[in-house]
Amino acid sequence: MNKIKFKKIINISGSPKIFVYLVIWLMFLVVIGTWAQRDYGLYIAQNKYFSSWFLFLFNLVPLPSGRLIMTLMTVNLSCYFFKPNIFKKTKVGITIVHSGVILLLVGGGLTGFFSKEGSMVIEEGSRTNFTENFYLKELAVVNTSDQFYDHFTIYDQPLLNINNVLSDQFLPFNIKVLEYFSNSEPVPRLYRGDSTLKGMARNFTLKEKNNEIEFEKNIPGIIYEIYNLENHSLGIYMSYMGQPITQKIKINDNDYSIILRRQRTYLPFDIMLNDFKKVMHPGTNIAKSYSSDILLTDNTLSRKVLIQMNEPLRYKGYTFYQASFIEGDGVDTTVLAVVKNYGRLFPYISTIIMCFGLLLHMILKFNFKRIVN
Amino acid sequence: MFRLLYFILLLFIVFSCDKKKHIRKYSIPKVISEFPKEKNKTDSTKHLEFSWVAPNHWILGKESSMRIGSYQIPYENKIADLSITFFKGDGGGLLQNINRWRGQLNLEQASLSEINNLVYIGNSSIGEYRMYKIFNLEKPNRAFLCFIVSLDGSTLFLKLDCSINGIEILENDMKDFMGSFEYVNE
Repeated sequence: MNKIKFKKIINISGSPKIFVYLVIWLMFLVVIGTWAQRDYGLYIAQNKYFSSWFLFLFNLVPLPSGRLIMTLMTVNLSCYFFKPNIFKKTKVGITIVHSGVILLLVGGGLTGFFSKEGSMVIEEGSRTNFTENFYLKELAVVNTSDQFYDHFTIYDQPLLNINNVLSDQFLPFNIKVLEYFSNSEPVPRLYRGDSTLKGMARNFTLKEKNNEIEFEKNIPGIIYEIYNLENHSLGIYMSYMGQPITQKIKINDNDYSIILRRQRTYLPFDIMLNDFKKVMHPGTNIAKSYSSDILLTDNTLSRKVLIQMNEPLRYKGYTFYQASFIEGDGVDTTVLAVVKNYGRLFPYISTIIMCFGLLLHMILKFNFKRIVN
Repeated sequence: MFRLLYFILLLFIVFSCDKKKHIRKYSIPKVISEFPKEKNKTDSTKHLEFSWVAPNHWILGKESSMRIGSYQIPYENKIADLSITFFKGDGGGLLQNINRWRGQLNLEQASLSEINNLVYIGNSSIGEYRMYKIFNLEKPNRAFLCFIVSLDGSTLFLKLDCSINGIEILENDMKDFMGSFEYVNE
């Protein structure tokens, strides 16, 4: 009985019809997403239509978004492998094609969930070992009291929601998020007599702004209240990205800095920029090519590498592309786009598998006798 | 068996997608300057301007936001370029700057102890200076003679860009020039 039920479930959920409807919906999403990109920018459109599970029509009606469609496609295609006789001569080609498509979808899933992208900004002569995410932010609490080390506690952006309390067993205080703006600007406060306001918040407040189309140009800001472990308020503070004076507090004779910044990912090696070179098109200010002469140091081993346009550096799964530069007077700064994509090879492998499967299917199905006759 | 393995693989993929770890902790060593700052302890906020005496035959170059002084220095039939720059802080660090200049001459990176073995330390009225000769024998047409003065909270860099031969010719002039540096009295 159970076997019959299972077979029924496999037949329904693995139906080719479902796959066709899913592909049609995905094509529709691609059109709408491309359209929305013009008005909302790449990041928001990508998140809304492709990287989320649902999108809400008029903020009310839930519709399946890219991630859900891809997952359903994977489940739908996976059901094929629970059907009988899939390795028969007539079906083995199709089985291989299914494997290729599933591999492609799994690769997409790995990229969607685990890939990291950001930028690395290095001034000539200086050394960096972290990348900064283009879009995601973090609230860093830094204990600076130690003579030799700075101790960081990082709260990622998903935690920075209104009324969320950020706590950690090693910190003598909790942070309650009062406001979080994805784009904001500091404005002078009209009434400055509120004694609960501390630091920059005494004289300034944050005004919410609409998101920029280029999301990375947003200046996020946060207003938060700090409580000690006895739940007594220590004041209301504010921080925003690029704040000229870091918000500092002193609790239990320890100094803490609270910084809202781009999410950092530390690398297991560091990069020093020796020299940045750019070549301009003759008679113009348009860059023809630019390159970064870097020194990559991993533990005690160092090697010189030249990163230039269309010639990225690939090391330990990270790819460093020459993305941009900041021109200084005497000292230039390079901007490298850094990508770590676990699913990078999946499209290549799966395409080869699919081609092989189709070819095999054609050969095995081909009626040679008919041609001979 | 194949189907069971496939099912387990699917479950593994689904349950490995855990993104709940949103609190991270780590410690990073503080950046400690490599300069022996105590030796040149002065209040740099009061002394942001310097004066110096340059030989008459040096041709004054343009100043910029980075260069507080610049000279074209004739030697043999060539011209050496001298830049004088001043930065708040350590200007990126002694080791980093030396290695950047070494990199510009296609030299291998050196460690702090290797660099310190090659240093010449002199004195001027603004404080102790460190002189480094950076050259690549395979490229004799370009070499650097660098002077670094670490002040309290700021750093002065002098970089002479010429040939290896030029360094030998101009070294004493440069030491005299470096010795002529003084703070401008308020």
